[in-house]
Amino acid sequence: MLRYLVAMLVVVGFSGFSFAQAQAELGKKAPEFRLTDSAGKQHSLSEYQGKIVVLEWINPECPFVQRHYKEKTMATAAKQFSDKDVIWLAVNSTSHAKPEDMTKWVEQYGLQYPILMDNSGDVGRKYGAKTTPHMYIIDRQGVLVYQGGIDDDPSGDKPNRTNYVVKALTEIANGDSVSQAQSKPYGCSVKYK
Amino acid sequence: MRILGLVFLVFLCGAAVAENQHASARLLVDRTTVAAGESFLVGVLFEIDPEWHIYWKNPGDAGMATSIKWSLPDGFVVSELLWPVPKRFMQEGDIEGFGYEGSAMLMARVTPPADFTGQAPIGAVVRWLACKSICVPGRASLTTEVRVGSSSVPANQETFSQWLRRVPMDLGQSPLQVSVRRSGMSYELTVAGVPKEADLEVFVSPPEGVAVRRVQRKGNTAVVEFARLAGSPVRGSAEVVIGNKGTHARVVLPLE
Repeated sequence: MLRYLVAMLVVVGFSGFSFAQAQAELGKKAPEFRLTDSAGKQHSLSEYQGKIVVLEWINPECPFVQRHYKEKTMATAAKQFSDKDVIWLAVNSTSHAKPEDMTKWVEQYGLQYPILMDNSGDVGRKYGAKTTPHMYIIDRQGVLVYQGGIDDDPSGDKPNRTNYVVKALTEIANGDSVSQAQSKPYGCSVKYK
Repeated sequence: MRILGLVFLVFLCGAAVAENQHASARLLVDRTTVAAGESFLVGVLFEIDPEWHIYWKNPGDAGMATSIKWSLPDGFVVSELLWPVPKRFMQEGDIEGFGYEGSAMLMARVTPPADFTGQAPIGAVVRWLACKSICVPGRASLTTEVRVGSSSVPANQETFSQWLRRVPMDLGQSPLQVSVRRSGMSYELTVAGVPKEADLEVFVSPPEGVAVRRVQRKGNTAVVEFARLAGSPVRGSAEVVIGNKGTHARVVLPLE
């Protein structure tokens, strides 16, 4: 009996471990996460099952993020798809980020989506988030269908940018598969612990 | 040599430290007078604050490549940028970056049309991202001029030769012997005469539509694995800068 218990504990422990370590991979089930937003509300990926989830790695100290917020890149895209079952979640994996500063940012830009606090960087590492911004799209089946940059314009001076997230969300809304599932993310490095 | 220096500095994103971009840029020419039809070098010399860095043509996982937009009189032909061998930075979260600390000069070769004589204005709009624990974008619009006349009068020779020495040579001209073997999206590069494992430096700049999946070094061999970005067309070739102890070769790897 004891041996059985030990074996069970090992299995549980091991599966817990492997679950925690599962890395996000394009075309595979996106790793589950549970995070608290800057206002104190909990969010998990599984609670949005059946919806399309956009994850946006954010750090308001980063000039790339600042530019996109001044240009309303994220807010416009989030609004455009808000009635198409798209849940937009910003995630801050900066080790020193404070919830009150994120709440101020949400208010300053009138954001309709929350900023999830990931100070430990566990979720960021699980998803392999390297930059701010770094974007991920998870489809209704929970599969990661896009990862990469918000657009094709790191220096912000292209007259005709392609917003990869808008493009992918449009394709998903039309029932098509995502034609460009990956791009090189750009921006500041995520400031992990 | 007259240096107009920083004509104006614009802060792109209204970051907090507008008085300091953590790097400055100067535009230099390796001649005050160029003989008609002779090519010459232009360079942007960056002075970077201690502990800060700016980025190579492939910034790595994050950051932004430094860029220079030249403006020259009609008919002047300018080469691609000549990039000195960068340094590698590692940050928490396995975030790898490539760039420069202290100072760096990015250069280009300019060839005036054979029939051009007189003053030639040279302009450069330079953009960079300087990072330490935070990142600050920098921009400078620089101008200078060079006379195209009958004889050649050199200038800034020491600075140019110092930085040209740090630009990796094309494989054909390099003293390094590098053998290249391709297997699908993976390349094996073997450098003859590099004895110690720790000494081999490898910097990879992938073309559009391709990511560097992994770089492994073993002895004098490096294996560079590329991966296509799903749904993106591959445009151009990858570049690998490989070598050690100040001698590096630039190897172009087709991926299409």
